[in-house]
Amino acid sequence: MDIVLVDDHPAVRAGLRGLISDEDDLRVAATAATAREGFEAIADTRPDVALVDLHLPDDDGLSLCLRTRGLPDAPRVIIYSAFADAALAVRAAIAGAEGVLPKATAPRALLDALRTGAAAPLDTRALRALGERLDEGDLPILGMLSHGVPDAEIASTLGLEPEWLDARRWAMLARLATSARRPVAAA
Amino acid sequence: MNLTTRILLADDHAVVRRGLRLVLEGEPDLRVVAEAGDGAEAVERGLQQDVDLAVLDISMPRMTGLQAARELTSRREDLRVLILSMHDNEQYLFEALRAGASGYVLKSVADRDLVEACRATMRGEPFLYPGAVRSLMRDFVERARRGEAPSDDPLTPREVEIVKLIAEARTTREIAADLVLSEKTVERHRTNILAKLGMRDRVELVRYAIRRGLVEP
Repeated sequence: MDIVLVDDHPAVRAGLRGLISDEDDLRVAATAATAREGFEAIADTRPDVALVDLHLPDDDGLSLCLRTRGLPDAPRVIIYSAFADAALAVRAAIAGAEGVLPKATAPRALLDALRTGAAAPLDTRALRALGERLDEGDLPILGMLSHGVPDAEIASTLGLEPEWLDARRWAMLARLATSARRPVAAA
Repeated sequence: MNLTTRILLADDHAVVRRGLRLVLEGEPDLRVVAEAGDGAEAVERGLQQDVDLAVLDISMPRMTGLQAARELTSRREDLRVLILSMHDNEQYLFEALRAGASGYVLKSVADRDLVEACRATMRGEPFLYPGAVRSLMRDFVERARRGEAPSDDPLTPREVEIVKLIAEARTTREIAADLVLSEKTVERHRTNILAKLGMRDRVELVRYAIRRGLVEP
């Protein structure tokens, strides 16, 4: 199973690479430190999974994830963040990510998630809270994304052009990003 | 003196610890002898004599890297400390230096800087990334311009005086009489001093006074 790692911290990349290289069935296809490099690496190597840091120097991991949805053989994307919470999981679902993993995840659990998936049911309170900040017309999209309905099926169910569905997802992410400030790390 | 620097590595993320270990152990003169997953564990482990250098992540659970640095440098004078941080922010940098760290390394460039920082620290030299040097110089120039003494002494002259008297084992009543203050005021000074220095009790205060040369050991 081929994996692309996108994280701006070299120690994280080195640690993940070391961890994965111990496993016979997993392989690091490429690593990248920015969203732009990450997109290129994913487009070039067509991995099975991409593990993507939320905070990247040039963009965020959610935008990177949503951009990869248009690629042929788009990989499963797992968002990797020190600030993983229920609200982030909802935003990740809108971006088309499979799930969210906190950086504190134990190595064994991380490897399991790479292999078998990081999907988890979304927290209904977080869904409701974030939904209130969206256009009402986008709520059916959010509802279907949160249940893992494939993109093409969402578009046909709602009678939307795929491009229009994409545009709505970008708009939803932008709307939610403005008030989802990164928490200040305790010193 | 040992040729190999024995390092305690503290970060709450196992993946990051593994990455840092790989960076450090690529060097023949550096060896990771212990790991810790939070600040309290780092203090416990760092107090043991087989560690020469503690590399502490700034934000850890139970006890932050800054608190652990303060605790370790006040209890083991021969231990060197480096702070690893994700914040390119002068407030954290100044706090780290105040906590007794001899270097501040940004996580975003840890692969490039960490090895050099370990070596500089063991030579007794400070290690700062270029932006940090600029911040320190700007701060210094600002203070000089305002006519302040170029030190970052957290204590007022009055508080220094009181630290010295406490370290000389004088009672609150004696200190109050000496300085013509009420006992209550002396008590309040004492509380403020402990809070400013992040210390708990008289024992730590006495060590601090000795280190600053206020009293003879």
